[in-house]
Amino acid sequence: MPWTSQGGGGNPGGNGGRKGGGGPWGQGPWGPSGGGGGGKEPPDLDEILRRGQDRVRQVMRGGGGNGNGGGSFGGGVPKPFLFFIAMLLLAGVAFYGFFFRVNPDEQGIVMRFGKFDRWEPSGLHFRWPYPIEEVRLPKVTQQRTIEVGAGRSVIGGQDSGLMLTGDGSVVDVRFVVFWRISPESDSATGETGVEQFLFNIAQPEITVREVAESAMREVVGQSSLQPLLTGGRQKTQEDVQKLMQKTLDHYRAGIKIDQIQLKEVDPPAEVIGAFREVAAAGQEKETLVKQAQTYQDQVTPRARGDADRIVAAAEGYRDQTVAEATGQAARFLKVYDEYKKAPDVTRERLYLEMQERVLSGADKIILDQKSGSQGVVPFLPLDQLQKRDQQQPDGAK
Amino acid sequence: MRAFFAFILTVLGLAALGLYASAFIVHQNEQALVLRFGNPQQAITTPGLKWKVPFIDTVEKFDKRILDLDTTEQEVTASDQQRLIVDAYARYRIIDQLKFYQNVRTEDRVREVVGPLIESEIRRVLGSATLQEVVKDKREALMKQIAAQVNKEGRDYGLEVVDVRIKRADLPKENLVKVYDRMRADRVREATELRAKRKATAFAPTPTRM
Repeated sequence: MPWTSQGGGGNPGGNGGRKGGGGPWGQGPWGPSGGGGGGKEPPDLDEILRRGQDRVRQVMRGGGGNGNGGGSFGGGVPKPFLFFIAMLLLAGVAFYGFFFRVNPDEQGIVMRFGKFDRWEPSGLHFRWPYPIEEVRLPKVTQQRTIEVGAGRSVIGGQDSGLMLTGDGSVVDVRFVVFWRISPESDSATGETGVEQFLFNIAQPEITVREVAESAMREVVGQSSLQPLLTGGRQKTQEDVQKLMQKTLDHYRAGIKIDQIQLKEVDPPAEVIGAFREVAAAGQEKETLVKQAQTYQDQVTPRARGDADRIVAAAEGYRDQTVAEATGQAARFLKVYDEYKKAPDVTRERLYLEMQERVLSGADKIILDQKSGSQGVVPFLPLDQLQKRDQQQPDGAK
Repeated sequence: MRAFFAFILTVLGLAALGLYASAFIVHQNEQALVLRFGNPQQAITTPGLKWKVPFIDTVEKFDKRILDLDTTEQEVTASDQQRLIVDAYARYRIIDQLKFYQNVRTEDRVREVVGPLIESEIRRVLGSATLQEVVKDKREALMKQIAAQVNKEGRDYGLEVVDVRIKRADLPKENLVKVYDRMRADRVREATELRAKRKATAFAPTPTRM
């Protein structure tokens, strides 16, 4: 590790210079967008420094003599020793003026008199001190994120996630943009992504955020509500990423959009109840269909058994009826045979049989036509006659 | 001997002062305008160590990068009388330092001067389109149209407007409430439909297994 070698000479001077990005590096003209400031200092530097100072004090005390040394330093310090300290400080300052460190996640960009000169990979590198050369250390491998729409459903609020869909509805979207300094170079101009990022675009974070908002609203505006809420997430993410990349490339911003991640895509809070209602209705529908199926499964076997029984009974009845009919047909045929042999006798017999059958059950009064010339009149009313008959058992029946 | 040292020191000091006064650095992301008693001498667009006449020339530096201009939110009436809250941003760079210096000088002034220009252009262009076109059908084309016009006007200020994009085009609060009502009605209809359908499904005779 390159920085451990610094422990020897340059601690006191270097500590300050490295820490506050403003020192000899001169961040001045870049403002806050400066990608990488100073790297982290090794944690043991302070400790080493303190120990060094302690040792210095001890040496001083020893040199100054025991009698008067306690209160005032310097009075009795030997000259060569002061010179040595001064040289040490000078060496430290010189070291930090002439060398710089590039961490693994950084890329060193060296500018000579403000003009891009060369870039250095991670490690310890030489440079001319300010103002001849300046170094920028953007974190090129770092993936950065920006969350958009955290304001959620607040109408007109800061960073609101509400946006119009193509079918005139409103949807509440929260998403995260993953981006980094582009590792590729621009094919049109030959500039690397880092150069573009540093020298071509001011306020990259704001730019990414604004481009993201614009792109998301454009994509959402071209879709309708339902696919956004359900199946269309993947496509939305890809479309937004593509659109953002296109816009940023147009700015030659040196920014690569790694991924868009939709965190939440919901109906606005005001109407989410209605959406839940739909879901509930869907569930209810499922439940009732299931219940109905269960009932069906219970009822069907019983009904099938009933049906079988009824069919069996019906078949029995059929057999019986057919047998009866067959018997009667046979009897009729026998009668017919008799009839053919002696039609008159048979007809007479059939007639009498029929008369007997028909008349045996009915109320009847039989009058002899020849007995009186007055006809039926004397006997009227006929039904009274019948009553009289019941009283006199010798009635004509 | 002492006087000699003093002389040497003075000479060195003067040389350093001269160098300091006559050289200046233009960074990779900067451009500069050299003025001689306020009279523009040359515009420098390349980075590096540059020279000027000491104490006579002064240097004005400008950003060379693409800069940000965020417009304020404004209400726009589309051609179908629908109102929209529009928030847009522009990206520009300084291409004519002298014009820029004469007209606006600072980025803040750009926001004050060019911002309203963009806003009125947005009102004009979006006012001739319907809500549907703004949101869905012609968004890209409308933005291009705005950018082209603003770019033309921006030349007067020494600016090249790289892009104007609509960040938000949303409905104002009152209309949003109506949209919510409609969305709710839609959902209620859907729920009712589901409930009605489930009855139909549940009681329909199943012609299976016979």
